[in-house]
Amino acid sequence: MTTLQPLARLRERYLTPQLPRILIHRGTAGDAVGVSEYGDQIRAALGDRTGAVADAASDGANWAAPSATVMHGTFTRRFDRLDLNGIDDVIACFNGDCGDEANYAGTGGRGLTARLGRNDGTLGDVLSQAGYGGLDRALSVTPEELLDRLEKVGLTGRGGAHFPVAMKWRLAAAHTNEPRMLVVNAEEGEPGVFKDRHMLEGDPHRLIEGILIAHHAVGFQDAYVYINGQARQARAAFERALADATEAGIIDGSAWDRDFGLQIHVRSGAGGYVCGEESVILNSIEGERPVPRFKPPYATDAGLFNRPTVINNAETLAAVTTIFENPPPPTKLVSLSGDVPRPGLYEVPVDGATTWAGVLAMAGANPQQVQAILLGGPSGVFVRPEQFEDALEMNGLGAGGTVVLGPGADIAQVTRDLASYNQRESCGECTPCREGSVRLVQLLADAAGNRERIGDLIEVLTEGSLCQLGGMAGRPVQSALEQFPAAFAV
Amino acid sequence: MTEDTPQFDLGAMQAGMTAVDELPRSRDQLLPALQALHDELHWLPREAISYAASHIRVPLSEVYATATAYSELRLEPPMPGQWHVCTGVACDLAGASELIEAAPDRVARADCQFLCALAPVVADEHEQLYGRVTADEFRERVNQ
Repeated sequence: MTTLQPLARLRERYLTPQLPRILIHRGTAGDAVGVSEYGDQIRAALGDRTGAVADAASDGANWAAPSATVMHGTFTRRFDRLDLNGIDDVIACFNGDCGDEANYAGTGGRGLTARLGRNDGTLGDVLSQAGYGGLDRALSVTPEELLDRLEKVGLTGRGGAHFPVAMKWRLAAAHTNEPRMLVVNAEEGEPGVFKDRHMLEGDPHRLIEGILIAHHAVGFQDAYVYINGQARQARAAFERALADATEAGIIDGSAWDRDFGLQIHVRSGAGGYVCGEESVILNSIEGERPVPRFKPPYATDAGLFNRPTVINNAETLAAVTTIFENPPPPTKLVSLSGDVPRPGLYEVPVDGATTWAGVLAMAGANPQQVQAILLGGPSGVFVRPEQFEDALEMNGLGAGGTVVLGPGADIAQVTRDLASYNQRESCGECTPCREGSVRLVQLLADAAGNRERIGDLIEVLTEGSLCQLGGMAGRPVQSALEQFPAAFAV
Repeated sequence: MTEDTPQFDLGAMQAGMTAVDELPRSRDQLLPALQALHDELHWLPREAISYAASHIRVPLSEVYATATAYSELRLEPPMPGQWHVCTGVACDLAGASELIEAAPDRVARADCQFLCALAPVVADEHEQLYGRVTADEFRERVNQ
């Protein structure tokens, strides 16, 4: 296995963290509930062993924050809600008394979230947890074999449109004579979605790995990583990872005795739901007004700076990495919030067996206490309890933004709020959306009386809008009217 | 410049201009230039927009067209001590309206802050987020 040599060389260069250790789950989520205070207490209690304590990002279990994880060699245990439970158990566990260790055996192990909240952000830590193993494997096959593999697995885009990744990459790769561009969409401006922030804060190297695998398959001149402007911790973590990987010779390929010849740039968005639309990102990066472009031409033919461009969601590229590791069944990151006991980020297997009822149970909710699930925010639909036992399908999950509406939620009000949001966020570039989003809000004031006109208007929005913000603006309204007509009765 | 032009911090303007000077003079650096100025000033006075326009060498009108299209770029100074209460769906369900009622004259409504699992969420004037905030806690924080 000569291909393992470069990876072994890399691992030797960097320190592997000593165990046992304590990871404090900071990140945007931990900081928002003041976890640092408990981190300080834990460090103070450990005296001269504070070196065993490190800050990590959230592991996705937002419901548990503020929290800390104790890692021993054979098991890992997270201590939840430190504000209520104090730090004594954390210290005891670090010192070897963790109660029933068997309950906490295993570490999650594989998939998109395998390292989330389980590393301190250093390259050494990531390398010791199989980091860059996926890239190493991908480099051992030809680009054509790589594309075949993705096609066989059937990987689709995780941003919501679920376009086959291998097909998109092949379309761009077919342009042989031009420099090609990669744009990574980490704008994540859809209300209710917080997956890419968690991924970038907690495991940015998985995205870098995916970018380099995509580069091996297609061959780009530049990659632009477009990160939501408010997601400052995500950008900082990604930039640090990029600097570390550059220093290690991972980005230029020298660690593998190759010359990758790829420049990776980081850009921040500056707000606006429409900025998650892929052609808007192209305009934004170019310094133009952030409005959608007409299609065709498609980005794979003439995208960023008029060059053949692949635009992939950050989660998609992270999923590419997992395919070359120890591949899990297809999974989707689901951002779960609303009326559930355990809201947070979940990596949900989409394997034909998982149902909404199962997801709700994972989050501690009783499906019978749920009125509906709002799936996909302002572009989404309402899922009724009757559908909770259906198997999840990847292309029905959008970007995975999921708000659980309990018995007290006012579905008509939620619907009007979503319509108002779409109206505020309309960029004004095309008439159907600019005018239609306003009229939709007006008509919703008497939804029952205006039922027919709302239907007509939604048709115009759907068929006539320049981009999917307008195109899908009527979707939650239509869904609510069809599924919960009683909520709109006068 | 008219008489009612709001004042900006000269030191912050200088720092923003220095950051802009380090950017290449190409169109794709327009948003990074505006963001560099905004990071320092926390809003974009006309002078800052002019500086970005002359550095990138694009007409002022086009820079305004860009600057006004982004919700995070402020064209007026932020109100000191103003808090934002997230009114995304999850925060609404968790009682965002009670937080607004707790301090109505110090609070503006904000769209989703993407911390939905810690609803309800508020942000202070430095954009630091706080999650699972109760009305009593919020009143106390605002009046600190």
